[in-house]
Amino acid sequence: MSTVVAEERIHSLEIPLAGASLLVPSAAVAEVTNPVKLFPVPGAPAWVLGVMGWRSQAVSVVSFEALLGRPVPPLSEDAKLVVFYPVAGPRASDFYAVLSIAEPRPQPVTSSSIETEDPSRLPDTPFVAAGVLIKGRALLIPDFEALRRVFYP
Amino acid sequence: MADVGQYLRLVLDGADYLLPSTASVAIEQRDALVPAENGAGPVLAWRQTRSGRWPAYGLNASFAVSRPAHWQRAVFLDAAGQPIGVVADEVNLLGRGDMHVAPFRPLGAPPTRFGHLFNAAWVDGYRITFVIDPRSLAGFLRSLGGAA
Repeated sequence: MSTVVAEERIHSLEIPLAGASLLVPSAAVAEVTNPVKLFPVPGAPAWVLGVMGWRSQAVSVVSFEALLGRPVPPLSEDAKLVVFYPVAGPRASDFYAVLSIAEPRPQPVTSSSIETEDPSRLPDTPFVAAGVLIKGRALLIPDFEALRRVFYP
Repeated sequence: MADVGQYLRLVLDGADYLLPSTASVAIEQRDALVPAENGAGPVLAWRQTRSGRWPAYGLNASFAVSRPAHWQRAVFLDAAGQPIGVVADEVNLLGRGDMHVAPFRPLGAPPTRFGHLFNAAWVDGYRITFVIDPRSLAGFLRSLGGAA
């Protein structure tokens, strides 16, 4: 008797950044919205682009490029704001958003569809946990624990 | 009795901020204050009292020290018995009305050793108005010096 094991599929989202793309579980994302006016936060680090109103909450918008030490891309017509469920911050309601330069794309991931990226080719940053190759394209997996630490030091 | 649900709207260099009305110990018009003699220092004006004088500082919209030209009033906060103020283009008392003030913590390390400058935000659709944490602002102003 043979046993057929179904390959596990993880529903993921590819978030285009300037010069890179993130790969995150779809379950981590609450919503993808069009850009709205961002209100700057005096004294905030450069990677905080501002705060937007979303579902009656103040949601901080982050540039992942700036976290990587790269220039913040200009806000184009194609840009999107990807609202993430809270990392384990001070309150369960602390949603945050990441600026994407284009519409995020669904990216179903199975063990056979990805390869591990050579770690030496990854950005030297604590905010990237790993890299994967999908059809030869490199995608960065963010380190949510590192994000939590920099968000709420 | 002061209503803890009310807020003062402060316009700093064209940007709106809110301050819990209970945090203010005095609001003075510009012409009731004494201009600071040292034009280069962070203190713009003083409120003269029987027991001493209270400094009022100028900040821009980014909370950097500045010397705004068109300020109209100064709002003074209690700071361990030593009131300290900030000048504003406008100061209005807002009724609670439909205000939806939500807790908010800015991301990243606090910009001052007194903590984050804001601890809540009024969310009106997409529009955000930050609520100033009075204790942090008072500590921040005190750290600017010039009040000796």
